[in-house]
Amino acid sequence: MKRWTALALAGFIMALIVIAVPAQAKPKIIWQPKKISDEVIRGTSRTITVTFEASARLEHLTVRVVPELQAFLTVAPSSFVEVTSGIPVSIDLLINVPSETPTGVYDGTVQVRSGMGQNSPTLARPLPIEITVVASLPDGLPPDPGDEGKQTLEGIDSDQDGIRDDVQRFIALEFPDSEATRSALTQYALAFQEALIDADSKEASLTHATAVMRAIECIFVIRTEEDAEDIAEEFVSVVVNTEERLDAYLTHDRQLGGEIFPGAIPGDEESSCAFDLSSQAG
Amino acid sequence: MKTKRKLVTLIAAAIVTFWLSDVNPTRAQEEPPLCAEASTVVYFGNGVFTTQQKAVIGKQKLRNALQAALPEEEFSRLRFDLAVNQTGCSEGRVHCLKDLYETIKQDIQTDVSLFFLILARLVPMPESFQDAFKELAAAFDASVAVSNPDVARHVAAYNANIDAGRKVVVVSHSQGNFFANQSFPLVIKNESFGIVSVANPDSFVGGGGSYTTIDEDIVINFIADITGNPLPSNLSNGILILLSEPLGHGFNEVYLKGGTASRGKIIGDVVNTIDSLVDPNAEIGSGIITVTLTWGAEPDVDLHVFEPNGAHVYYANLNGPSGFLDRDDITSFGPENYFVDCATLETGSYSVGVNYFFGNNPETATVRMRAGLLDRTFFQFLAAAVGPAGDNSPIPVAVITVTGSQEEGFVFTIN
Repeated sequence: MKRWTALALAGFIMALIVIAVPAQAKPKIIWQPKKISDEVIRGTSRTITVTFEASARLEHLTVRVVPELQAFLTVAPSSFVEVTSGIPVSIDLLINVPSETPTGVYDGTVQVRSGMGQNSPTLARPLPIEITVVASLPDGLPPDPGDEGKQTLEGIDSDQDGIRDDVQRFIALEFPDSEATRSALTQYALAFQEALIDADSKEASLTHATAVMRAIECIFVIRTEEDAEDIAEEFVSVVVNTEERLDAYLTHDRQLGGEIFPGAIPGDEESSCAFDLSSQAG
Repeated sequence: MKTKRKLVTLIAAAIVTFWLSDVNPTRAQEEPPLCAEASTVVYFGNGVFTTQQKAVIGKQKLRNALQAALPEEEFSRLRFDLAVNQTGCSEGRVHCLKDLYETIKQDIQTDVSLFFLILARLVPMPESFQDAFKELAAAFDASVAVSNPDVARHVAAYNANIDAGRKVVVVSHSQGNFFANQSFPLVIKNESFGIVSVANPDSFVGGGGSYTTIDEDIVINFIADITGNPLPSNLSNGILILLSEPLGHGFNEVYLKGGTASRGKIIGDVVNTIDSLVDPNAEIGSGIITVTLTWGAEPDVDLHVFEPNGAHVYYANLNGPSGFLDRDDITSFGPENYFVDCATLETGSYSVGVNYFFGNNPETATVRMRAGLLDRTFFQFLAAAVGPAGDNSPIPVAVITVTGSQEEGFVFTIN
């Protein structure tokens, strides 16, 4: 009996040691964003900046692209002498799609490896990458306004559809496979643009805030909770991208203090979408 | 440009349009969803770093979590509204987020998009950002909510709901707790009013409501070190939460994050709070349009509504072709209440006014209007009572305009 008690005690102590010595746990890599999903036109290139954090101090790391993506994806920098725990490290993903690349979806990962050799171990977790290669831009998409689109509060709306060209392009290029998501974000963009322009008016701000609320509810109808949250949050960073727009956005938001905004009726949230949801794919 | 603005306005109007006739044929015989009665209203009250848009996301997450936790029948009797709190950290400043941006903009090379990505925790938060966030949060205390007119507006909505027979639960996050706590003693039947507190920087929860503060909440811990006020943490989400959200404080990103212990506890607290509140008797009616007047200790202020059909509904003419004044009060405080059923809604203007009928001192009328999915509260100063002489010319407060049709849906505005 005493022997069993001693064994149990030893086991318990071992368990405590395992719990109390987290330094022995394998170091982990946390990416931001958690995944990359992008659409690229054949014969063009683009750069996406991502960051990662390590859960422990690490030395001699290499960043490797899996073979499935190596034809058009490189990373810079691709090696690190040292990475400090908890400090974000930036990496540029350089996507260069040759014009002869077949259209389609290409899946793979970018891995951080401990050591410089070919067989050095991969640290969890790799960054999932999904690149959709397309032949051309969607019809009717306006050109990228670049910095010129940031010179005024209103921005550039070359096709006069009520949505800034840069925002219109974001919606079309980020969500090529979901018509419903594009419609919901278009609804969001229209209300958002009006909110920025009319920020000095309390009455107008209340009207636009109600419209914004319906649009966000619509996104939650279409997408999963986690997706909807990320999409709605990222969209703010796309629309509010200059100090002038920041001031307008926060002035608008300040107008809403003390007010009540009723939510959609449970069971009838589809009515928050200003379009016929049943006719749209995705 | 005018054409474009008109188009945008039309689309914006369309999205506040709500069908009173159900488009789903399988439910054609049921009550239109917008006319269905709720038994409880759950409000989300934001903190000062939370924009209205972020608060909408919080409301949606609350809604989703409660839908998963409750039987369909119980969930269908809930309604989810926002009680938006002010977001100014200091006198004369636009917004706490502006203060935060000014503090850290050099560190992010004035990249405004990056600022919002960091706020959304989609990009790691630099240490300087964390420090600025904590400092600004700690500078905001309960004094801002004392005698704040924002609180009075929220309380008008809470009281009107309880008078109409609905329980009210406020889920308040961070500094939103200051406003919710100030509200509690002002709610007349607060046995039907509950607060579920999250990340509370205050030293109590109004009415003794439940609260959730996680051990990993760096912001509340920081405030506790400075003021000693916050209630102690009572739950852990585990330190891994700090990898994605180093402040451990966000309502959406931490407390209601899927799969966390805090999400389970908060939703349990909401359900338990609803169950524990007294079911209020419906003392006033409510409909697709509801207008409720309250005031102070002076004896008599009257509510007047001029309907689209021309009828003048007030104490001497309680029934209009469209709506009904179901409560006339002559013994101080109110409420007086007018409502329109879905079946008798008319297009056109419902003009709302008040007449200070009898009293000896200046008075302030509070008029709360709900029309479709709009909810507004107005304050009207009344210098002196004018008696029946004011019956035909009440002081205008606001106009509710209804356009559209039963078949295509109605659009409401309140101006």
